[in-house]
Amino acid sequence: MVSEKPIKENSTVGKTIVKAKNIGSLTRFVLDAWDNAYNGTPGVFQKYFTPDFKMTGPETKMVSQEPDGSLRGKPSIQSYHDMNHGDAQAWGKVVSECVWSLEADNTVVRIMRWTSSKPRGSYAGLENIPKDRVVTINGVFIDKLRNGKIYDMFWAYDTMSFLVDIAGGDMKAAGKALGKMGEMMEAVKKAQAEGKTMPMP
Amino acid sequence: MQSARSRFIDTTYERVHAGDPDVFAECFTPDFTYHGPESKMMSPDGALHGENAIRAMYAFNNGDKGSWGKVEREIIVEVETKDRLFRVMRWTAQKPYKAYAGFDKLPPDMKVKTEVFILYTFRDGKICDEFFAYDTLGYFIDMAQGDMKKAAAALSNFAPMMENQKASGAGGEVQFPAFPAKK
Repeated sequence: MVSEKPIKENSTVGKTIVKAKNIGSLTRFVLDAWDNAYNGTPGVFQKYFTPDFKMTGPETKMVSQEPDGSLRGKPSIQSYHDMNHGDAQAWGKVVSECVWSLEADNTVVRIMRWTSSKPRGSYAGLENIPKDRVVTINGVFIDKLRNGKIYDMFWAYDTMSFLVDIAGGDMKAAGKALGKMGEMMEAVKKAQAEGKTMPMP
Repeated sequence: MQSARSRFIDTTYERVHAGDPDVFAECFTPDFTYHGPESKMMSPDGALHGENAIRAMYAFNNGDKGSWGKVEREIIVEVETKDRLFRVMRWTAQKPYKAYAGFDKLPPDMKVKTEVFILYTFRDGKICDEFFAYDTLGYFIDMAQGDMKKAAAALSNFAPMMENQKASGAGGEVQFPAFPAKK
């Protein structure tokens, strides 16, 4: 069965998702799972995710020890929490909206829009970001469920545009930032290899 | 088994990549909109519109073909509703033989895989919107074989090319040349 839901749901990072009408039950489950992961709710992993859960996206690919670029199991949820809190510390406001979703069998496809504003200074290798900069990016997420829990989450977004937009359209500045980010990612990768987690830059 | 709409998408884009001058009128609505990483810097609203969007896709595909010896596309996830088709495609590019995206020289045995997320929206049996996303930086980093400094240098080399292209739009949408005439 396939159901499709146009959604306009706002979630300010750090606060509970505003309940919206017209949302499919699987999408609701998935959004609740990730909201609880963000909030660091005790027991979130056992409640929403299978023991063999894996997530794969641009951020995990840079720090993963796995050939497929994924992070796995409970530590991956901790990393998700840490990297999102890193974002929340770098920006005064981050609004995340689920703008569209589709449910098919045990799969939820959703388009999320993040709007980050009021930067606090440095982010992703860029420094002195103007305080009035507002950056919007759309990402696509696929959550797959087995026995009522998420076992796989896979996402993508235009990472280069995100960096270029933060740099105010200056691709050379974005290139320099990427070089700096490389050093930060190496540090995260090293920590992952030692079984520690640390916020991704 | 592939659905009729999925096959329609495949044949439509084969025709686009072949430069078929009839494909736009037959398969896309006149107000077709394309939003993707490549279009982002090419128009004030970040999207390409109408037949110009189709010409752009033809140009992008030719650019890839001119730089890689082999490019394969494989559908790995597909979900369909009444008006939409969502796909994840895996693109595998190999045997680079020319400078590409700010890299002067890529190893000839290089193979780069990218997962591309595409949402097609239909109206009256034709494609009216395409939303397209992939991990663009990840693609650069893969071409740099994980060396982010090398990826950063390529991005800096790539900047003037993108800026020139943007400037060619003179503040409006960058215009792409018409398909070659039918032989």
